[in-house]
Amino acid sequence: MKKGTVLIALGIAVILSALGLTVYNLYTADRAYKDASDAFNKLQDIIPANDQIVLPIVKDEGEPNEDKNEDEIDNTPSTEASDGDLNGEQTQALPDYFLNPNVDMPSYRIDGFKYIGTLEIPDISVQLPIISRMSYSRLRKAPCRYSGSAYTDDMIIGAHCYENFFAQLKNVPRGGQVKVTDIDGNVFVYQVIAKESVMKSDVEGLKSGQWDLSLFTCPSVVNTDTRIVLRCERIYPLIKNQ
Amino acid sequence: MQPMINKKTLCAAVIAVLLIIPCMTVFTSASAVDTQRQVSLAIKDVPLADITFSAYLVAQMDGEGSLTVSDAFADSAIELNEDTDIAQLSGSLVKYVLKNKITADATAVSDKLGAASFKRSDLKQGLYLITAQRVVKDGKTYCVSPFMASLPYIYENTVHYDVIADAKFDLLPSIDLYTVYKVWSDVGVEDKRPQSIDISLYCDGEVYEQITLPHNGAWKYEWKDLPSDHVWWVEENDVVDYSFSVTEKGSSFTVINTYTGSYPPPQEDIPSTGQLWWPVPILLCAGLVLIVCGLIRRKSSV
Repeated sequence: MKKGTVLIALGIAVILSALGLTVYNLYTADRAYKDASDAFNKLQDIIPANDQIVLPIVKDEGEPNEDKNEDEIDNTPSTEASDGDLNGEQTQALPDYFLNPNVDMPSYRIDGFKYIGTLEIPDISVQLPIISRMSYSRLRKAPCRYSGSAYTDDMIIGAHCYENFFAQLKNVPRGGQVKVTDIDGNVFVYQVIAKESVMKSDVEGLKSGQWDLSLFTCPSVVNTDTRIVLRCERIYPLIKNQ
Repeated sequence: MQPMINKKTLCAAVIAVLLIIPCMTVFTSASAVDTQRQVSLAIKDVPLADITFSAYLVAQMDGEGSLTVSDAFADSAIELNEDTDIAQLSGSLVKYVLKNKITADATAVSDKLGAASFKRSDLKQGLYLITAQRVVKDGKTYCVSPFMASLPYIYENTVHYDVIADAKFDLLPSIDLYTVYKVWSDVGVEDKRPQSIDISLYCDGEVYEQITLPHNGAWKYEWKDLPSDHVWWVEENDVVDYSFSVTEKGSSFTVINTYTGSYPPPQEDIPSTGQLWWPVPILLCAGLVLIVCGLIRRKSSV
């Protein structure tokens, strides 16, 4: 009888540990979302408003970008009147990053973490801050920049597959849009061109392809051997949607 | 540190025109320089009268045309050899002259015809740095680019003792906005960067202001309303494990720090972005199995 009792007790302990791990994971994800939301709201207060950019963005031709071949997308930074051109009027001077794209993105410190801006993905209702550099402790707070810069069109951002972070990244459709806003209020709008799956050991694969923006996360809570990567191209010009 | 001067144009116009005054010039074989001959330098196309030019003897020339750095520039660290692009020296040498308050060896003032001539008696044979005073007129600053002048000038195996140079100049606003940008070249080792760096803005060789970057979170700083009839440049305090260089574009400086330390081994994996979920179903199953086994055992022992 004792042995049976011991086994039952052991079984209960093991189940409780499973439940404990579940609660811990859910709490961590929830805590991360609250912290990220707080940081996002604080950043919204300090980032200069730029109401010129409203998603979804349409191109000059007035046609929404659907199934656009990547070769047809113009990646040349616009320095003409169309940058900030509303109703044919020149509205703003060239931002600093046009003059010197190699300067690192400015940052703003909140609770000891440096943020370089915000990330919005309307198709999956994501509105999150972006931490300047990636580490495991920072990933528990918000999406982090893995490498590159919005100014040099080679930024890679990663985040945990928490429900309110990048869990739904795989559901962003091709043609979906992503918006990055830096601390100075400069807005960068991207369009999803492709989704890839790379092995966790394929660091070069993640960085390859010369994509303007890449977002990555684990494809599911149980699959940690690969990473799903959303590949995006920057859309030009930045014009106000009608 | 490799400071560079703030100019609107790239500095170092090389002596361009060889207009020879027939009665005064003697051509000789390039293999020998007559060290007893006097040399002359005239500058034409000067945009305004009364602009003062200064000549600094950077290096003496011997009979075979070889150059030896003069005492005044002994600490300037310039190298004069076959590979030296002499034309590019003027930028760094102007800063050296201003910081060390070196006295000019000769001066000349432009006339109403746009010409300035140095006195023969003031010039020796050698390599000179020629600078010009900046002049403000009608709300604009006239900035003549500094340049290097070799006296005599040896060109295509011919020695020219009388040299005429074209002045190159820019018109600048009388006051201007100067901007410094900080660029890091350290992909993969960004955590090696210092928390901040100090940059000094120099005005005519004196420190005008020292600032710290990042400034308000940005690696950029602006100085507004600086008079452009002065010579402005930036220098950075030494940063451990980083080399330093400055480039100039318009009225902006870009200070570039390149990592020179050792790089860590490349990352083996893309960082994990998942949570620890896989043990949950295993633990649940294991727990259930243990409970079932325990119940069976209890039943069989009853």
